[in-house]
Amino acid sequence: MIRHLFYKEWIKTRWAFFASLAVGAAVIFYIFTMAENRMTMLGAKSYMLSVLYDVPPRIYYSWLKYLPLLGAVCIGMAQYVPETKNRRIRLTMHLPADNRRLISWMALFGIMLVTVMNMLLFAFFEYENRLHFPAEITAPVTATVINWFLAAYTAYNYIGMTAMEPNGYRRLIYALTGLILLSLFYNDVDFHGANRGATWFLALIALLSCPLVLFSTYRLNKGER
Amino acid sequence: MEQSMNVIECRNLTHYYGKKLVYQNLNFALPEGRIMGLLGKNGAGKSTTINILNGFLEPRSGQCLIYGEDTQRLSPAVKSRIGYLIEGHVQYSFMNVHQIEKFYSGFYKNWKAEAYWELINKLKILPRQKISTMSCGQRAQVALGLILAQDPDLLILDDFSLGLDPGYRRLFIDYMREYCKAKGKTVFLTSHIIQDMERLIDDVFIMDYNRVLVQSPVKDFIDRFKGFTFDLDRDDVEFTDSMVVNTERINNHYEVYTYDGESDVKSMLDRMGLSSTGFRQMDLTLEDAFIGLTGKY
Repeated sequence: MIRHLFYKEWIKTRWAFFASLAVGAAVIFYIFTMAENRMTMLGAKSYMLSVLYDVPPRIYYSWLKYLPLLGAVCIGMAQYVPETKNRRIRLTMHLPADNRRLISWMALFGIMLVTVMNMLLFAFFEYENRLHFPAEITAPVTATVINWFLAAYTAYNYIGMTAMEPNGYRRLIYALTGLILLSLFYNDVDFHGANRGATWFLALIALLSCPLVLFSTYRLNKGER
Repeated sequence: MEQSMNVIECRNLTHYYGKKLVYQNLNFALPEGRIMGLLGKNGAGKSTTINILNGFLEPRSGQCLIYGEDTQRLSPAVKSRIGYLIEGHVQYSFMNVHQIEKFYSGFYKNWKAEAYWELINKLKILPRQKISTMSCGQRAQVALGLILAQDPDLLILDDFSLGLDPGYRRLFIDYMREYCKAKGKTVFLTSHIIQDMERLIDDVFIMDYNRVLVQSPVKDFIDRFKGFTFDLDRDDVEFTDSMVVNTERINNHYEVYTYDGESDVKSMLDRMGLSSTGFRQMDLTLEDAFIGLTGKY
């Protein structure tokens, strides 16, 4: 049963997943191609010094900032929007299984997909980063970008909650709440390793947002308007 | 005669949207093996009833039971016995004909793939064709094929004729009637096109705003409900007699609908001191009777 449910979710999300991955990989490739060019033009030593000691520092990876978020938004939209069109979610809720369990599996599938996307992009970024920069730079950079990858989970969960909510006014409230929460993941980066202290708190936000879609589905199931 | 069990049983159902009452203390039952058509004007509560039956809406009070279980808490076992056709034949349009069959087959133990493919093969579509690219009639066939493959005991069909041209409507109805009668299925359906219903249903359930007007075998209703037409020399007559269910008037031409006979209507006209011309009983189809009962407005 779960396999078949995942099959449906995969059909909906696969292009968004592959597109997010392709764009993500291209952007990471661009980040390090640009870094390489600068190193060639300025000399490696001079470039590294500017990355470390310029005020504000050279944030060579700033293009990565919203990338996981956009990928998660694409996956979330691809998964939930077709379900809300013509209230198609009724078809899923009519399947011979517990509704909460069905929606939980749907959300879990999306979270898994976001995780795979995050892991692949993160791994590619880390590989390129370590290839081009010393540990003095890569360690704090990793600490900063982790928050951006965590934002992807929160965005995905809020999209699920907002899309499944039957009431337009509440949808707006959820979307605004989601945007406010997401802004916490994107504080200014004044130095490499900025916001590393907030990572556990942000991870908690991302984790706590996971069951939100169940609340909207419960309201939908009750026929709330 | 042995009493058959009720597949659907709704008791004292009351629902409001905000402060607007949809209905109060609605009671009805659908016995096993019967095909019941729910008729009503727009806003009479048809969709509300279907949504409550499917557990997509919690009534303000009262309850509906399907196979003895509250529709708000249907077990997977009972859900698997219910086939549901959503208004407009809504299906997963992002899937193709092959994918949708593969998806549903994982949820139903007694899935009959051959019933689905038999129907699909009659359409001139490819297995890889996406449902979103199909005509409404083709989508209806896919939805019907999925229901046949599920082989449910109870079918709930919400406005099944929506968007279908006459040929597809007729095909759908004939297929459905043959299937349900041959296999003893129970059906609860709504449709805006009442002439289609007449070919399909055993029992009629007519709702008007806040109340039930008729709940009986369709043949009994057609036999009992009558319409008479006549001309009077005045165009301002109001029929207040309790025997008159509804009146329609264009200038001095009147139509009177009642459960009483021709002689009773003529007696009423005599009591009112009215002389009529062209008095005759109308042949009523189910659609005529429905309009006669609920009015044109």
